[in-house]
Amino acid sequence: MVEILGKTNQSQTALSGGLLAICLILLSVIASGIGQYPIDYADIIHALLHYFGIEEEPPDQTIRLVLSEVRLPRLLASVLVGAVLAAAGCVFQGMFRNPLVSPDILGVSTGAGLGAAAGILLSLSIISIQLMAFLGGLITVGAVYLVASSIRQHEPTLILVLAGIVIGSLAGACLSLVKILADPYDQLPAITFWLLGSFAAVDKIDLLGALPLCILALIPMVLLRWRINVLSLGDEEARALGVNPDKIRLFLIFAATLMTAAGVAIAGVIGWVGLVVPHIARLLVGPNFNRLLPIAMLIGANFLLVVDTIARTLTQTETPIGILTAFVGAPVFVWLLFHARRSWM
Amino acid sequence: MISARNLQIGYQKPLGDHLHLELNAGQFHVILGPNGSGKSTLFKTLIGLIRPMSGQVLVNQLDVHRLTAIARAKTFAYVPQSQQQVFPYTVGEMVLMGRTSHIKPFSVPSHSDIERSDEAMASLDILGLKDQEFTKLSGGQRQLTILARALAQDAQILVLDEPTASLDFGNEIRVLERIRHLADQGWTIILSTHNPDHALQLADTVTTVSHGTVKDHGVPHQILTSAHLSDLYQANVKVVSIGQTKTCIAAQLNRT
Repeated sequence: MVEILGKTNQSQTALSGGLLAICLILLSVIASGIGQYPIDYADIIHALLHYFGIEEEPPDQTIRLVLSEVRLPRLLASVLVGAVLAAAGCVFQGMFRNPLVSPDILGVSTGAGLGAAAGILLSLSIISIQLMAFLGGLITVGAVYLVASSIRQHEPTLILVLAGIVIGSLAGACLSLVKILADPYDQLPAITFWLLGSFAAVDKIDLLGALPLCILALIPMVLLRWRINVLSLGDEEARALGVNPDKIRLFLIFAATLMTAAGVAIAGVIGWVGLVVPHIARLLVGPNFNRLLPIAMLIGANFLLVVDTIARTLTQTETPIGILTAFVGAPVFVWLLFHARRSWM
Repeated sequence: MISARNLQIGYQKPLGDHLHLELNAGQFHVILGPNGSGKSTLFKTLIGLIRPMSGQVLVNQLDVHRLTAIARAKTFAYVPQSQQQVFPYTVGEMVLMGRTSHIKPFSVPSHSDIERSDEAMASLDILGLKDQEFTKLSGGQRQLTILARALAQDAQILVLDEPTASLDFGNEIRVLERIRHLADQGWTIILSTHNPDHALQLADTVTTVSHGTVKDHGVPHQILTSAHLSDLYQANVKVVSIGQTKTCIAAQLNRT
């Protein structure tokens, strides 16, 4: 597949990007029609046209309410979280020079989960819970980086992953403690459901709270897109090529953690997206961050939109999305490992 | 151009005594020493990648450790020893990264940057590899790619850390020929190696390193004697002349 598609061509990237964007729009329209209250596609398009002032006649009141209050916020949230988890995955993999890391493997997600669960336990407001999620994620990634960089005599790729697993399980143990302390009738179901990931409770306010943080975190990634390539060559080479790695790296890890935490705060812990999506994007357009970032974000958005639509329609009750991403992500990753051979796609 | 004064090198503790060294512009300098002699440490200290334990290194009268990352990259183009890359950048992208010190932090390479890196690839005859993945190249092609990246950097001094360490005999010769050719064009080159032949055949000056300090410095044909090299490598070696070339051989390594 790689050979046929080619990797370096600029128009190749534009084509992939265009197709993915069209795909995202089509899937969004389809997904907003599906659900417990099915809506005809003609009605959706009618409602959209009315919203943008093209169509005079207002749509049916129920349709308008279902779309604007329930389905669109949820749909946009899944698109947003999918895009930011993929972007954070690209940054983590580049900054740690390691294609096996992702927000979940580095323990960022678990750490953010712990922070947010503690927030729920203390009955904090949604903004405080987001802040707790961010701090939890940042502390975890800091601890992983410290442990990994203090053990120097082994294979760094392996050590980083192992450190992530160790710190991640420690955060997991603290999470269990929080669960034991939580009120079993009120807080515990909220924490448990939320740890498996779900967009069920997302409303407009959550979405508007997370969006500015995600955009803020995305700015340095877009601005530093060329420097990120140079940093992914390693510290010594980056320094020799004129980039001082220490500050930029910390700054970008901070941004990626902020992004992940903002996502975790509204949708809970959703694994695999940050690991698998950057690989697929690299397979399509190569590792150049300039092209990798937009393509990965589009793939992540498409992916999570589809998975969330399945999550809310598969059965009568809501299926936690983290379960579905694992069922999709794990086999895809195994397939990628088989095809990776020596070079990391 | 580069002068080291009272320099003591090392990572956490000093490797050896204070050393002095002067390297002039427009010449081919070889830093020669056995494995573990500290030549890589000396080398990286000279170009500002490692801090000295004491003393200082001046390049164009400026302290090398006070240069900004960009100023350093415009002074030294560094070709590191091993090339274990994780991500499959193309040869073109790898070479283009050499232009980073000429690209503003929030910007991407311009057309003139792409032209300059194409020129660098063309001068080493690897323009044909431009769209190939770096991770899938042979050792010799990788080394030439990194050399092209160093040329595209447009720095004043070309710095090569054991550029032929992992190459087979043919690739070693090809890479060294390219480097010799660059020296003839007027580049200032500093090359570290553990092979005395490189110094005997290519260098204008040689600096021998052992126990973390400079053992001797001068013109290769004068200082690289059988006795000096035997002492340096702790092995019985002999410098012999074959036609115009001098080469170093093992004195007693014969089948009987």
